[in-house]
Order: sequence, then structure tokens, then C-alpha cells
Amino acid sequence: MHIFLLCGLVLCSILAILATDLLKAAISLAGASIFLAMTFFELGAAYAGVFEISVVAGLITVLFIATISLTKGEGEVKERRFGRYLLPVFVVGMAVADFLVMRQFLGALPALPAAPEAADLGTVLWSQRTFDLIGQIAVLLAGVFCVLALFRKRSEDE
Amino acid sequence: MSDTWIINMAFVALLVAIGLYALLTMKNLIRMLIGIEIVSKGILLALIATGYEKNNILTSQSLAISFIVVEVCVLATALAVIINIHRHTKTLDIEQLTNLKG
Amino acid sequence: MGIPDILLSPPVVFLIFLAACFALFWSAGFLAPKPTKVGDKLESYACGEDMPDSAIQINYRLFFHIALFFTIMHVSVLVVATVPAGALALLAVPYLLMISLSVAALITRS
Repeated sequence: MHIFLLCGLVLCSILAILATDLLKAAISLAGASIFLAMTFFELGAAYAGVFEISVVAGLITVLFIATISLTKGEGEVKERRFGRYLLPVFVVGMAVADFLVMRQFLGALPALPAAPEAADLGTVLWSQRTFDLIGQIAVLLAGVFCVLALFRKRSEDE
Repeated sequence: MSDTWIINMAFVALLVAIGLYALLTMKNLIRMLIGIEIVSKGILLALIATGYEKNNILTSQSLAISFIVVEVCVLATALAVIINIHRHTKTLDIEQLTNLKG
Repeated sequence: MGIPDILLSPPVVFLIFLAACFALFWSAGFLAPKPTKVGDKLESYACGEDMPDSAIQINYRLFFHIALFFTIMHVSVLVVATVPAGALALLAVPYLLMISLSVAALITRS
């Protein structure tokens, strides 16, 4: 079961790269994140799965599709011709390098401190990782000011 | 080191390879963003799989939530930049964006 | 794990319903009459007048403000939904204050 979900995830990602239509690419990206969310449910990370489905598969896809439809029309981009034939070579090369290198790293990882007994996600997130929430707020504010600066109001005469 | 973890990490490597390939070879800006998305999916899978292996799924879930929030902000900002680029240069080809070349 | 357990696990149910939806979609397309793409059916209707084919310039200056507003609301609701009961819940107050600050900046400056 688990391995089927992972294979679906990788297949959807490859489709998202190779699709000639940008709209199809965005939709197969959403399919990939649905497979990823199902993997999370399978591994017992239910809340991360909910986040993945509702934010990544829903919201980001809407943003992508809106951007694609706003930038459609003029200026079609031709991809390079070798672009889609080199993918298997590259992936196999990365897989071989990964097999040679990563095993030692994985064995050397230390154990995490165990979660407190009978804790739930909220306690862990809001008591142990409070600093992450400050980071989230900082990133959200940065995004707001960036969008405000990029789409600022034009002066009257323009 | 369990087999599930090894398999998960192999798929993480596959996803990162696919995303890096898109970043290296594609010329369309939106396609490069899709590549970044695929790399970030691989990293999310690595976080959750490691938490599952080390019996601490709660910490890795809270890390994954923070990661997704950051990812959404980055995506929104990058898409705004892309729309502005398209408005100024009428193209999404990265090889056309050379007007700062000396 | 028996066959019914596998069939009723959430991912499999999701895939089965996805397949059912697509089957319904394709069978409805099979039953429906084929569209005839001739003549005025391809025109964009504008009170009987011929519309010029020029692309309409959409004003999308406000689009990303609304999209970012929606993003912030969605994310903050999902994060605040994890607040545990007890004294830790007070931590949500500064979080929501900062979120409302960013929303206020987005609304007043746009």
C-alpha cells in the first residue's frame, strides 16, 4: 500500500515536469500532493496530511492556475529539445549517488528526544516549538510587505 | 534502521532529483517554480518519514506545518514576481531576462 | 488485514470514488449529444453585435492582495486550530494579534 502511494507521488511529479500544457502540469502537481498527504495519513501524521491537502493541493494550485491564466497568450516559451530525454539519465545518476552515499548518513543520525507521554500535536507545537511560530509570523509579514511593494498603487497620471 | 525508512528516503532522493532536473533544464519560470515545489515535497516526506522512524511523529509534524506555511508564502511572493516580470517583458523565458547583462 | 479492511481504508475509498466520478463523467459525455461547432455558436455573444477579438486587459492589481489575504486567513485558522487547552492557549493571543496586524496592513495599504 505504502509503496503504491509513493510510486503515484513520483509518477505525478514526473507528469508535472513533462506535461507540455502548463495547466496540466499544475493539476498533476496537485495530484502529487494528494498522494503525499495520503502517505502522511499512512504514517500516522494526520494533521500534516490535512495541512498538505487543504493548503498545498488546494490553495497553491489555485494560485498557480490564476497565474497561468494571467500570463497566458503572448510570449510562449519553447523548452530545450533535449529537455525531456535527459530525465531518466539524470534520475538514475542521482539514485546511484544516493545509494552510495546516503546509507552511511542515515546510520549516523542520532535518536530524537522522545515525545512526552500522552501529548498531542498542539502541546508539542505550542510549548516546545514556540519559536517556529514567531518565524511563521515573520514570514507571513514579509510576504505581505513584498506583495504590497510589488503591486503598489500607481500615481494618478499613469 | 528499518526498511520502510530506507524506501522512503529512496523516494525522497527521487523527488529531489526530479525537482533539481526541472530547475536545471527548464526555461519557463512557472515550470521552475513547479520544480521547487517538487523538491519541497521530497523534503516534507523526509521530515515525516524520519519522525515515524524515530518514534517522534509529533515534533516532525509541527516542523512540517511550519514548513508548509513558509512554502505558501514563498510561492505567493514568487508568483507575484512572475506576474510583474510578465507585465514588464511580456515573456516568461529566463533567457530573455538579460537586460542587466553588462 | 482482510479484503474488507483494505477496501474501506481511506486512500482506497478515495481512489474508488475518484474512479466512480470519472466513470460518471465519461458515461454522461457518451450519452449527451455531440456539440455542433458551426456558425454563431462559436461567437462570443454581445447583444447580437460582433465583438472585436482583441484581448481584454484585466485589471489584476488587486488580485494578489485578495489571494494573500485568503492565504493568511486559511493558514492562521489551521494553525490556531491546534491550540491546546489550558494556560498554553494564551499564546494564541499574540499570534492572532500579529496576524491581524498583517491583515490590517494588507487592507489599508492596498
